[in-house]
Amino acid sequence: MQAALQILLSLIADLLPTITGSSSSTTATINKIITALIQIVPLLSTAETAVVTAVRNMISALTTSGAATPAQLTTLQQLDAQIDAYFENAVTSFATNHPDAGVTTQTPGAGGLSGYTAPAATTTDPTAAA
Amino acid sequence: MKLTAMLAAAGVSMLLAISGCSTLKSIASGTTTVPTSKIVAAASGVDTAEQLAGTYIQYCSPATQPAGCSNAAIVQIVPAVRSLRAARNAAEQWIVDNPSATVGPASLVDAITNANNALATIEAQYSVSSVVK
Repeated sequence: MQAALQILLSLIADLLPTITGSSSSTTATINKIITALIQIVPLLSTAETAVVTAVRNMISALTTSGAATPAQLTTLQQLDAQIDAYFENAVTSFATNHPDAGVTTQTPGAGGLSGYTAPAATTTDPTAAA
Repeated sequence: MKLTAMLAAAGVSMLLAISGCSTLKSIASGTTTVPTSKIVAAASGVDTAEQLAGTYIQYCSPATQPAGCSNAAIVQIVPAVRSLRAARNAAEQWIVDNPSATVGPASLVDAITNANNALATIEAQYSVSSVVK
């Protein structure tokens, strides 16, 4: 499972250098990557550190690429928050079993993607319609 | 003397108003700037220590803990991870809010570096990586 994830992430990583500018094809490529990440992120709660780090850095690369649309940025932030939530869930689990340790728990951010609809494969970028 | 100071202040204000130069504004306000690429790199490269921390906490979560677990370490690690996350998110948000910028506040990079170093120091002190390897 971990090996399959790493191969998949490697394939996605190969697409990252092609993401430049704000053309319709760039938007479509980002949509495809986000769609894949939406499927991958729920698997990360039990994934190895290297896999989680790879996904996290992929999200960061897309977020800071300057090519993502506002809707895509919102989705990327939700994915990022979902990974943050895994950490906070671990802290909560620890604090429950070790109440005397003095660890403060924190409610995870809007990490869930319930109600989220994956972006369509075709772009809705207004610049693409011109 | 007073007039000289007023004229100097007015001169600086006028210069800032007409220049539109972020670097000049940064220098005038005492803010150190770095290339945006450095902010991007800093925001993207902080996750190994953070993920190691998460793995360690999961590993040490059971009521009967495995060997090598330290509650004292976890008490320090948790706020350190949150600080690192906040610093990274601030840097990413700055990039998103300033897509055309070529330079940005060095404080964003410093915050990530300091938070990452603090977390790595705690992890080294308690040999976290050898516990969960």
